[in-house]
Amino acid sequence: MGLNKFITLVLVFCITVIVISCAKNPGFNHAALGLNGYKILVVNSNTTAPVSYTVTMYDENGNFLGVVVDYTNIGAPVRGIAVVDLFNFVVSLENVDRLDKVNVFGERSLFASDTNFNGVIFDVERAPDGSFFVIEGNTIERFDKNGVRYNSSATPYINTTTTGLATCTLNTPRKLAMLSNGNLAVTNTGNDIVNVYNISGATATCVSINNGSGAFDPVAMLAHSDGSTYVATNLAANSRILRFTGAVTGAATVVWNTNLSIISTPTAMAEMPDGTILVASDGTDTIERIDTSGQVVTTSSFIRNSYTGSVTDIVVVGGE
Amino acid sequence: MKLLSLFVILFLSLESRAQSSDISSMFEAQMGYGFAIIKNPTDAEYSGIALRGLYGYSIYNGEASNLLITANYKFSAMDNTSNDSTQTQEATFYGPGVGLMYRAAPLTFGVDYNFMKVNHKSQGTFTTESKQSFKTISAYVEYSASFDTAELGFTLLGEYGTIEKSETGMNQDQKFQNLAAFLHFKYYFGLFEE
Repeated sequence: MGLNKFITLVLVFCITVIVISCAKNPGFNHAALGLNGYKILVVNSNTTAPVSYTVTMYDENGNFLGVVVDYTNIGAPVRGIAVVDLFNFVVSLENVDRLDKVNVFGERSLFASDTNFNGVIFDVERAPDGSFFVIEGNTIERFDKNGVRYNSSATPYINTTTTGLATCTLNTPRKLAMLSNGNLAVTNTGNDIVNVYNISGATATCVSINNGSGAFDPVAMLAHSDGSTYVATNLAANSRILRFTGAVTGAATVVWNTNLSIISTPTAMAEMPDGTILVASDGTDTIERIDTSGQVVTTSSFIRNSYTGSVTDIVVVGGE
Repeated sequence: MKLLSLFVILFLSLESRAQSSDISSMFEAQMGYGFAIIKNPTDAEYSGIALRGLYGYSIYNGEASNLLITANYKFSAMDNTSNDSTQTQEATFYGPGVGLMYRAAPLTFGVDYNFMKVNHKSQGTFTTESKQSFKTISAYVEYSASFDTAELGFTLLGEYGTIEKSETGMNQDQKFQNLAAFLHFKYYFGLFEE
């Protein structure tokens, strides 16, 4: 074989390699990242040393997968999380007063901020139309799917008092839940009631209030696929989980009565694919798993690590 | 039927043009570069070094061509083209296979059926390792320059397969595609005539 033929072969090889490797379209293999199946995202905002403001990810067995995003360095407690799709979610951030869009790889970008969005930020919830509701002080702001604040004026979408029921007052609201009938429910620790708003119009209307939680600080709330709405009270000695109707009407059934060695001052709840409920127990710095009849599913805590103290929100996403 | 007709035309055409040879078996070593895509839900693209070895046993020696049954082994070590400082993925593909090779010098055509495995190693935001098994079909074309009973040349290989959801835990199967270019060295055993 002549030298020229050999050089030609090498040149053809090199050109081919360049051609087949130049069509780059970035993306990771999600199965290889362990992103198959369902994933649990836990929001942690521990304001006492060691301070940590993170979103961590776990598989459906509670195994730690990684810290998705960490806001500790910028001093922004993460107060809530709302799922956009399998790979993207929106977090509400206190101190910096904004919503960030974050993907599972930890890439984050500003989603929403506004000069009138400057109070104390808590939970964020996504409505079926793609808009986002966020607790700000004793009001609730609304942003559309592009992050644009609903009102151009300083008036929030849901003010401390609003049309509908005179007794429907936002008083230290903490958690939001989208109910199956399209209404928005809000827990209030200041007046111990759950407010329910019709959010289908340009302005919200309060349609009902429920004080069936007792004077025990209702905080965590979960609109469950079984048609019920679960509310957890987190006054230290009355850490209970109650079941209401889906519309949060009428009296509650006690699903979990106080047992502080397992669940103490619950702060967040989420539904697992099998219908069981994850409960963030702030007093024990753990995440527990119970079924809808109040039986503990995982006898030893479902998740317990340095990120399960001061949990502010939990969501379950998946599966691909 | 069209494919069979095309193959017959190709066979007759090459049979009339190619160099005559009579071989008993063949060994081939290949070294090159591959570019793979695993689809669903995103396109995860990998590139890296690829190695392939074949042993062929002649089952037909014609006037100007040979038909061999082959056994092969593939190996490639690839990196995800999206790797950055926060997340990396490495994939090592390997596995044996069997196939058919039709040689009509200077060209060679072949198909393989392989039993592949892939080891995934992810580091960064997500640090995990996983292994999956899948099967692939490959087709390749080679151009070779010969000297005595050896040949040097160039191989272009296309490979296609499905990684089933039972392997990954995903809701859907993943499609696997690989395009590789090799420089090859072949050595023929048995009588070899030009």
